[in-house]
Amino acid sequence: MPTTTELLQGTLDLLILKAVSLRPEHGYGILLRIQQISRDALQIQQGSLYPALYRLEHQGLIASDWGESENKRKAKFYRLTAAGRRRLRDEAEYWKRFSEAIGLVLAAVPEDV
Amino acid sequence: MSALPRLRSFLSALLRRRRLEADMEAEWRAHLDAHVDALVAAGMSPTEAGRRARIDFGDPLRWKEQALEVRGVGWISGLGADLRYGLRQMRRTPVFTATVLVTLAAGIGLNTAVFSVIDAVLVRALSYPDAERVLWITTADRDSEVVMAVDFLAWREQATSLDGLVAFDFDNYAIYTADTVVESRVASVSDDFWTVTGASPMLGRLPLGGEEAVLLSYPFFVTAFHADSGIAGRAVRISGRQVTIAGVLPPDFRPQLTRPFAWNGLQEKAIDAYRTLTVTPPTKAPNGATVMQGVNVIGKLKEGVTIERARAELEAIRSRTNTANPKMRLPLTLRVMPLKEKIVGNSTRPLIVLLAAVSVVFLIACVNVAHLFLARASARCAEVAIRASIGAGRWRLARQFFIESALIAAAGAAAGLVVARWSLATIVRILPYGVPRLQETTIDGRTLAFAAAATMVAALVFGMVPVWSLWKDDARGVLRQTLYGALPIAGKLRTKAALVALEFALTIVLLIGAGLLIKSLWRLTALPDGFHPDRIVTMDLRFFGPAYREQGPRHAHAAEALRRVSIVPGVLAAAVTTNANSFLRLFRENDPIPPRQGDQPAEASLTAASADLARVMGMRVVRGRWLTDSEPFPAFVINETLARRYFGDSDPLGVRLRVPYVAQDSWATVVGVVADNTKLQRLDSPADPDVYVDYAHAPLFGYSIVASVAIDAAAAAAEVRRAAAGIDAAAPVLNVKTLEEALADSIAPYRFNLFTFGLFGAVALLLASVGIYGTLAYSMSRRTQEIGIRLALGATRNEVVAMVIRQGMTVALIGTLAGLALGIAVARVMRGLLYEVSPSDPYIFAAASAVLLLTGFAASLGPALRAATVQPVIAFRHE
Repeated sequence: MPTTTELLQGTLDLLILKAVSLRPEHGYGILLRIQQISRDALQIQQGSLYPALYRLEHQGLIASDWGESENKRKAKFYRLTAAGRRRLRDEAEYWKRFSEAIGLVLAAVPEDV
Repeated sequence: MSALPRLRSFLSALLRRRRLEADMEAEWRAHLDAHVDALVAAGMSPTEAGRRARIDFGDPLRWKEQALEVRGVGWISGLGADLRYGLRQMRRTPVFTATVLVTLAAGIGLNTAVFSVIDAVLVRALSYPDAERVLWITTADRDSEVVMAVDFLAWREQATSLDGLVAFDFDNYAIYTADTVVESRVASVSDDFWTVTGASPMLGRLPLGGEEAVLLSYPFFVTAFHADSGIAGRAVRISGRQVTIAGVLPPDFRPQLTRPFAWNGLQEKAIDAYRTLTVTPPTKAPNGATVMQGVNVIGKLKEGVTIERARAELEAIRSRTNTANPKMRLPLTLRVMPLKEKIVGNSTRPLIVLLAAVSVVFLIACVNVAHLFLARASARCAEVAIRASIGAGRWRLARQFFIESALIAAAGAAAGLVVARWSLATIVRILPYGVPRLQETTIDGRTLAFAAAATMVAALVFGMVPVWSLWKDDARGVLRQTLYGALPIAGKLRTKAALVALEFALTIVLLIGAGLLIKSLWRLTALPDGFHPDRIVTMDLRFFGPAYREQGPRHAHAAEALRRVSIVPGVLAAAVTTNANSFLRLFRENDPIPPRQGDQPAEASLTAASADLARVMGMRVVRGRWLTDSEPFPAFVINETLARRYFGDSDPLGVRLRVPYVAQDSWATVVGVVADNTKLQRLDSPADPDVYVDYAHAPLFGYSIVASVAIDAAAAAAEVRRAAAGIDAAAPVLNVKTLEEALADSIAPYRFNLFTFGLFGAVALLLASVGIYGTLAYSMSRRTQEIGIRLALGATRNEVVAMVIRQGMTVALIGTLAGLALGIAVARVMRGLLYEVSPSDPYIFAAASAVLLLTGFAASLGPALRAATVQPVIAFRHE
């Protein structure tokens, strides 16, 4: 049976979209944000974030610009595009319905069946 | 999601790779710095923090690879790596690579060359507008095809089914150019030629009706007149006559015409100029004979008219002409056929045989490629297994092997193109008239593509064999089998033996073909004792202008030329002769020679000869005597064929004969009989009845001088030419060459067939020996341990050698026997290409088998000797 971590890694894309939806963020910031959102349940090698970022960028869901980070370093900032925002909404909707359905299933008692 | 951003991202990743990578590195550096900062802030030492950050980040190379992949360009960098690996493999196994390349080059190259020739000769239309409507029209007695002027004129006047009727003929003329006199081939053509060919001059104009004019071909315009554009409209002297140069024809003007009449004694040659020809009605010569032009004729069918209708109409006109001129003996039969059929018809069979031969070479090449790759596959199974077991994916390996095979195949195709170009150029250069239209040949792109594709498929399919085993078994299984010597594809050895046997079977077919042709050529070039064409210089003299209208000056000229040539240093003997290519009716005094041989009346070809002709040509007088230069009455010498055919057992000496043109008012006495020599003028002529007459009593229209020389014929030729040419410019000297050269030209088609077949046979032999060598060498390398055990258990080295050779020869023998059966069938198809050789000549079959088996033996010997040097101890250490 999959652990929470495995589930989360499968939904890395969703996590990234959610992370950059709040405000434009650089790679390291996204990583911190995801760890924060998932309460450190997501254990990935930090570098593997980047292929995922590039894939999303390649798909046009996020876009990037060079900027300056809070401690005055040059960094690449990712932001959500309109397509990304739609995707995030659809995915969130899907997960919400999915978890409600699972919740219903699990809440069922013998009499309901 | 639209595809556009993806495409943009893909392209920028593809085209601006370097910048993309720099970008990524900068980004990751910022990431690492930020992480280090965070770790230090949490209390870690800077060194420890740097180490930790790198561990947390992971292997940047891996991320980079993935980063390229997500943008869809990952495979390209992988491709680069595979290409480099493939090239390294090619360099690491040079023998394998070279063998495959040679095989592919031969297979693709020769096939492309032959298909290109066939395309040019048989498939492509002639270069006439509406070429399918252009007809060859002729009348014929036996093999001599000629249209007499009366027929041509009647047809041109009356035929309604034709859109144009062209009379033409060829000759060599001396053309006086700006700086010199050149011997040039001129086609004389009647007016309709220009419309039928659709000619449009690039300089000047077409000739007016009835005008005496000449148009230059482009190459001649360039070489003889230095492409002087002011030449149009100028006059030029052609063999003594002033003729206007009306214009110059464009470079692509190359209408295909038939070969020159056989009796003109002209070889085929590119046409330098086209001259207007006026066909005139027959005239009466002073001696009462009818003088009439004979021409070649092509006609253009009116649109919508069938050949049959045209033939019927021409035949009807002919019968009216015959009725109107009862005394003329016009040729008996009318022949009408598409011009293309006339020009290439005879070469269809040789070309089809050639096609079959080259297909066999191609098949052998494919088989060879297949089993070369198969042999290597076994060796590389271990590599595949090891790479698979340390994590390479099946598809990844498949791709890599695919690329390796494709690389070799592509290189082979390129080499094939080079071979195709080279072999075409060589054939056209050495045998330009071996096949009609040969010079029009260009590389046929479709064939090249097909041949390249077919061999590539062979390379790809068999190059991928090592990877297949992965699909059947997991990596561990393959590895285990490989390490324990039981190869996953060891069972393929039987397949390989079958492939080699097939190669042998195909090769012997080619060897038989080549052998039959070699024997034909040997028969063709086998010369009678005393006949040394390499030491005979020959040249032709022609008469032009009013000074030579009568026979007297012609004979005087011949006598003078003979005198001058005889005293040239180095000349042993010289003689006057004429071309003997037309058959003349023989009459016998008081006793007409009854027709034998079906309906044919007694006929012989007539040659005028001087006293030394027999000496120069090495002719052997078997009865009576040869001719002198001072015969008081016309004297004949006949050859053995004539004596046998028309006199049987009775003595021909003293018999009085007459032939047309010679001594119209008196009979000639047969004074001698000479042995047959069919090689005097052509190497492939059959034994025909010949009559020689002393030249003083024969009419000369032109003549040849032959001179036997002591040593260097080429050097003597120049001297001899100077001696004869100095007499009179109105009697130019043409076609100076050694008789050997002249004879070699006469068998160009045979030499073409032999050249191609010989080449194919040699290539096939080479490929087959590579095949058997490769198979045995490979099988020995796999059996090192077994041989070690045999030796350890007491087998002698001789027994090991014998065992390996037996193994190789079994395959060779099976293949050879199978091929002999095939060869008998194939040789029968070649009957028409042979000269005095039976298609089932047992010596050729035996010789071909011997050559092939010897080759097989030689190829087996190497691996056998290597097997015998196996050291048992070392063989066991393998285990």
